[in-house]
Amino acid sequence: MSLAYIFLAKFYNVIMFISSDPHEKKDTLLSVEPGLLIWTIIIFFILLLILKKYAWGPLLKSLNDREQSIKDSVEKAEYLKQEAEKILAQNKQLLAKADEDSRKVIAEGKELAEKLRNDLISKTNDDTARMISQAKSEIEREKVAAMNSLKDEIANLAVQAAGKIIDENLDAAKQKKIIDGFIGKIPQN
Amino acid sequence: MKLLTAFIQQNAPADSTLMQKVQQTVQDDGNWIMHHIADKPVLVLPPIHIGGFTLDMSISMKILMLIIAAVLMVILFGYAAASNKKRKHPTGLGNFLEMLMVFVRDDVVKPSMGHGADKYLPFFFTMFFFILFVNVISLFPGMSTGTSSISVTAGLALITFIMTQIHGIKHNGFVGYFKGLIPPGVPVFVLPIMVIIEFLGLLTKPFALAIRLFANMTAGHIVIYALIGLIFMLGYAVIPVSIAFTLFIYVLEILVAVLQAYIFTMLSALFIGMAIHQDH
Repeated sequence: MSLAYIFLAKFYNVIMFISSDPHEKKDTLLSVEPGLLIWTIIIFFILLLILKKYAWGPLLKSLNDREQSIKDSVEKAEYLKQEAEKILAQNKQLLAKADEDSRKVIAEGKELAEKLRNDLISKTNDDTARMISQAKSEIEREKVAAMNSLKDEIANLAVQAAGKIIDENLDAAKQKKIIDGFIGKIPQN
Repeated sequence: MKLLTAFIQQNAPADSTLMQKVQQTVQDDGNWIMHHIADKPVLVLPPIHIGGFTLDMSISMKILMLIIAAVLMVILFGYAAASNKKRKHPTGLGNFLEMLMVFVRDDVVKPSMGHGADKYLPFFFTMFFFILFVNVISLFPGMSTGTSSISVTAGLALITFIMTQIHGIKHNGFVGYFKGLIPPGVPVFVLPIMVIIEFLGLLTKPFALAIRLFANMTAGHIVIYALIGLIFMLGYAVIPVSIAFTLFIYVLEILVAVLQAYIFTMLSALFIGMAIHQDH
């Protein structure tokens, strides 16, 4: 109870700024000395003013600037990453398209070459066949011509032989010998 | 210990041995702990008379500690600001202090105040680091604890109180601020009681702030002195126990020094935030 009273009395001292006579100092823990209290407030506000100008301002500014720059950097990095991903996707798409195109071109080339080859082969075959048939017909014609000339030759020979026979009065044996010799002269075919 | 022996040499009879002196002193005058906790004048200035009151504005040990902390802060933070300005990536001290600043901004002030906290950041930075520096330099030998005086903590709490009222009134208007203290939807017959309660609430908040910081910073030192005093009361046998416990309390004091700065700043931010945003 008395403690509470002392407490209240000291608190009353704080509020009312009542100072005891400085010459009779009370050495209790809870005595509030207005001088000390005022000094505290003065020191605090001087400190606040000095530090606000020379420390908190610049420190907070550099802190905020740095935080802002970090935020900006992160945002920029994020944006650049997105851009890069977009470009990568685009590249992939382009590459795939180019791949497809080249495949198509190759396939077309192949097809064309195949067609060309087939054409060439068939044309060659045709040519060959035509040439063969031409050659065959030539041979046939030549053969016919040869046969004809042979026949003429045979006829001539027969006529000559007949002339000779007539000229020399042939007997049967001699006649037979001439004809045999004649036949022997005739080519087999 | 140096302080203790000096005190003993001043107060004990001249012809006794040191141990006898100490025992004599401790037994005769249990108040030696209080002597170390209490303030000592460093530079005595003539008292100022304002009206009927007398103000003793002499510089005492505690004020010297506050000034040392303030000067240290200006040097360290000035250096940090200059060093952080020069390079894009802060290093060393600049980096460490900036990390603490980010902690105060993101984990202390912003959660307590909500939106619009940026404007008040310099105030809370000063509050946090001032209390932190005063608390931490008190742990060095030969230093006194600035915040173990109720006058100093009352001064700090008074600053929070004044800032709360000023910003509350600035933001909500004079009438609006005091109207907003009373929660909406209160029946008319409880209104007189609510007015008294809310008005007392205004005063108890800084009062609790002052007492909390003062008590926390004082208690550790008293315990350390008491533990060392045990050696002289009970003899050399208790030295290991005393030293072990003192060390434990000392380490605890480091934690308390940081924790109290954090709590004081967080509650200040909460009170000012509540005064500004009265709707929630």
